[in-house]
Amino acid sequence: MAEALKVDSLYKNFGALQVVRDLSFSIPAEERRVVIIGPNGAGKTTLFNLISGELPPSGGAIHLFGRDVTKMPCYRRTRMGLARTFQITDLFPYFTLMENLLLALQAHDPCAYQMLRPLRSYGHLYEKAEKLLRQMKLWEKRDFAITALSHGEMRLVELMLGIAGGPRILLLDEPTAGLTRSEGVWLANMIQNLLKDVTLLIIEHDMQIAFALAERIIVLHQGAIVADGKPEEVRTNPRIKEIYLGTVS
Amino acid sequence: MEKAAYRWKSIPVAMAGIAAVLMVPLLPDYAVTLATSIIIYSIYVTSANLLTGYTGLVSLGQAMFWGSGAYVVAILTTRAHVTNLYLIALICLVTVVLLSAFFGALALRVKRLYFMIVTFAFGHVVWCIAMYPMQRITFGYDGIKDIARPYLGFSLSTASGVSFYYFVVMVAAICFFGMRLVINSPFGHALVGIRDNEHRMMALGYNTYLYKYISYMLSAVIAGTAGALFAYFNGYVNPSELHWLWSGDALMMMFIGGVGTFWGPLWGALAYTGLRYWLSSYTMYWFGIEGIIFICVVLFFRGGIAGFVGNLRRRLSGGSTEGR
Amino acid sequence: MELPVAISQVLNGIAFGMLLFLLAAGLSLMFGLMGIVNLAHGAYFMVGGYVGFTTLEATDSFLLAIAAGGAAGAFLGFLTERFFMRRVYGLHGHESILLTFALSLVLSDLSLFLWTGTPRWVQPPSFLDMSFTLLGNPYPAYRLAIIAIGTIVFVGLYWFQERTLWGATVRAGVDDKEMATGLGINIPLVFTMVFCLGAFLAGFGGFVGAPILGLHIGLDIEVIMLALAVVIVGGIGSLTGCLVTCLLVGLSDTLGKVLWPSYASLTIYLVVVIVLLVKPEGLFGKRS
Repeated sequence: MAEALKVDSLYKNFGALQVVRDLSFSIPAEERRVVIIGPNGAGKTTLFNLISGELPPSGGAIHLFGRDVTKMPCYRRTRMGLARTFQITDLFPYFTLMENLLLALQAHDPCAYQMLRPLRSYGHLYEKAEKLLRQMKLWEKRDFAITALSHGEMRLVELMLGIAGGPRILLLDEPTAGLTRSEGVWLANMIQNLLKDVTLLIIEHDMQIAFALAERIIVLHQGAIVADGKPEEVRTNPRIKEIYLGTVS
Repeated sequence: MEKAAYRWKSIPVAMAGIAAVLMVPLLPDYAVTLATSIIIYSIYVTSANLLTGYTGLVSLGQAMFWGSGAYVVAILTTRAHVTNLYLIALICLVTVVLLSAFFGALALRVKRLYFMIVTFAFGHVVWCIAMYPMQRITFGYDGIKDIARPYLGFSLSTASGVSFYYFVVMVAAICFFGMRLVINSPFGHALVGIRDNEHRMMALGYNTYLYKYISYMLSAVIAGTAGALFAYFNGYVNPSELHWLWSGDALMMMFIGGVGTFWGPLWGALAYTGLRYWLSSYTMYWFGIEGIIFICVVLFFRGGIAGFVGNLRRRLSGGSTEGR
Repeated sequence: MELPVAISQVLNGIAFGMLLFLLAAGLSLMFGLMGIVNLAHGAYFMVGGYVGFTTLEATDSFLLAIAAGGAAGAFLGFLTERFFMRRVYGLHGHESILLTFALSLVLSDLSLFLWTGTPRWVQPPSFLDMSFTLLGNPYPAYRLAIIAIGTIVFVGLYWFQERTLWGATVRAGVDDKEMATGLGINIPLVFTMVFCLGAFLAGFGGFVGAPILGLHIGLDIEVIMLALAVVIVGGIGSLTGCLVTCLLVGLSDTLGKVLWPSYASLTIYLVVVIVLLVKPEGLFGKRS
C-alpha cells in the first residue's frame, strides 16, 4: 500500500519569515505513532495546518494515500480520512458535551445535509456518541455545558472530536498540553490503546511521554527536519541535545 | 425527564398563543390590520434570524429579497394580469432563488464585516436597478399601485381584512413550522456549529461554504415570501421595500426580539410595529426612539425580549438558572 | 460637454472628493485601528454643519462657526467612543455597525428636533464669496478654497502620521494591536484620540461643505454611504490611498450625475462590489 502521508519539499512563508522550509518525509500506512518534537517556533503547528489544509503552502506538495491533496480544501481532506485536534482547545462553547460530539459524528454521516428530520431521530449517532463517552468515562457528564468541564476533560473532548469521524490519519497537536504529568501519561495510554488502527502524527513537548509513545520521532528545528528515526537513535543524536540546550542557533 | 416535563408545561402556553392568534379578528379592523403586518414582519425577521441568529452571517441585504418578492407579485398582478396565486408563488420562488444563488455565491467569498458591507452594496445596486433601468416596469419612486388580494382557488377570496389575516396566519404557520424543522435537523445543528466556530467545523469535515450558501438561499426564500405577502397586504409597492434601511430594520427587530431564538422575530416584530403605531400618534421622532431602544438592547439586554421572557419564566417556575 | 464646463465639473468633483476625504479619513482610521465601522460618522458631519450654522447666525463669524462644527463633531465622537464603542470592542464587529447605525438615527432625529426639516443654506464667507474666471467662465472661489483646505488637511495628517510620535503610535496600533500593547502603548487612550480626531474632521467638513452641499436631514446617510464606499475601495492603512479614492469617487459621483444621471450611484457601488470580491483588502490596502 502507498504511504498514508507524504510531504514533499514543503515551504511556508509568512511575509519575509520562513516558517517551514524544504520539509520532506513520508509515513507508511502501517506506521502507527510518529511523534514530532522541536523547540518553540520550530514550525510544528504550522506543519499541521499545512497538512490539514487550513493554510496553503508557499511551495511543495502533500500527498494523502497516494493522492495529491495540496490544493484540496480542508473538508475534503477530512473526508479522505484525515482528522486533527488543536493545541488550544477549540470546541463549541454554547453546546453541551453530547451536542459537541454529535456535531463531529454527523459530519461524515449521510444525514449531514438533512434538514427536515430532527437530529434526535438519528439513533445510531447517539449510540456511537454513547460508546465513545463511556470509553472516555464522560457519559455522566454528557449534558454538561462544555464550559463547565475541567481543563483535562476538555482535552479529552478535543481528542474525541478528532476520533469521532473514524479517521485513518489523526494529527494530534499537543494532546497533553496543560495536563499534569500523571494525567498526560493516562491520556497517552488511552491514545495508545484506543487508536490501534490509526496512523497518529503527534506533536508532543513532554519528552518523557514523547519517547514512551513514539515508534518514530521527527525533530523539527527552525522549520526544517534535523533528525528522523527510531526513538533510541534520536535520543543519542548529539545535535538534538544541542538544540534543546540552546547552543545551536 | 426534565425536558419532557417542560414540554408538558408549555402546552397551555402554546394553546393560549394559538387561541390569541385565531381570535384577533374579533378585535376592531385597525387591530386586525396591525396584527397582519406584525405577522408578515415576523416572517421577514425570521429570515434574518436564520442567517444571523443561527448561521452567524449578518446581512444588510435582506430587503433585496423582501423587495423582489413584493415586486414580482406587484408586476405580475398589475402588469401581466396573472391571477393564479400558485403560479405567482412559483415565479416568486424561482426569482428569489436565482437572485440569492447569484448574490450568495459572490457575497460568501468574504467574511464578517466585509460580508455585511458586500450584501449592503448588492442591495443598493439592486435598489438602483429597480429605480432607474427598470423604471418603465417598476415606475421608479412612484411604485406600483392597486395590487388586488389573491384568490386561493375553490372560490376562496382574501379580499376582506379578516380572510386575508387568516391567509397570512396560514402562510406564517408553514414558514415557522419549516423553520422549526430546519433548526432541529442535523443541518440546523451544523449551522449553529458554523456560527460558533466555523474554523473547527471545517476541520471536522464540513463544507461550511455550502452550508452557508444553502442557509442564505433558504433565508432569501423566507424573506421573499414575506415580501410577497406584504405586496398583497399593502396593495402598493415602492422602492423603499428594496432599500437597505429596511434591511437594517430587520436586524433591529431581530435584536430587539432576541437574536438566535425561535420566537424572537415574533416578539421583535410585535414590539417594533406596536411601538411605532402607538408612538406615531404622539411624536414624529419615531426613528430616534427606535434607535434609543435598540442601543439599550445591544448594550444591556443582549438576549432581547425572548431572553428576558426566558429568564422570567425560569425564575417564576422556581428552577435554577444554572446551565444544564 | 464643452471644455470650460468640463473643467468646472472636474473641479466640482475634486472639491466634493476633498469633502469626502475629511469624512473618510477618520472612518478609515477607525476601521483600521479598531476594526469598527462607524455609521454615525455621517451624523457627525451633519450635526457639525448644523452647529456651525447656528454659531454663524449667532456670531456672524465664519471661522468661529467652522471651529464650533469641528468641536461638535469631536464631542460627539468622544461620547460615542467612551460610552458605546468601549463596550463592543473585540465582539464580532457587527455590533459596532448596528450600534452606530442606531446612534445615527438618534442624532438625525435630534437634528430634526433642533433644526427642523427645513433645508438650510450657508453663504460662503464674504472674503471668499466671489468667482474666478476660468477660460471665460466664472468659477466660485469657495470651491477652490475647499480643495485647498482638503490638501492642507491631507498634508497635515500625513505629517502627523509619518513624522510624529503620536502618528507612529497609531500606525503601530493599526499594524499589530497586541504588539503595541506589549510596548506599553496606552491603547484605550489612542482609540479615544483617534475617534475624536476623526469626528472632529467630520464635523469640520460638515460645516466647510455646507455652502455647497447645503444642510438637510438625510445628508448624514448620503455622505456616509459614499464614505463607506471610499473606505472599502481604498482599503485601510493608507492615507494617500484614501485621498486618491475620495477624489475618484467624488469625480465619478459628480461627473456621473451630469453625464449619466440615473446610474451615478449604481456605478460607484458596482465598483465597490467588484473591488471587494477581487481584492478585499482594497486598492491601496495592505494585505494582512
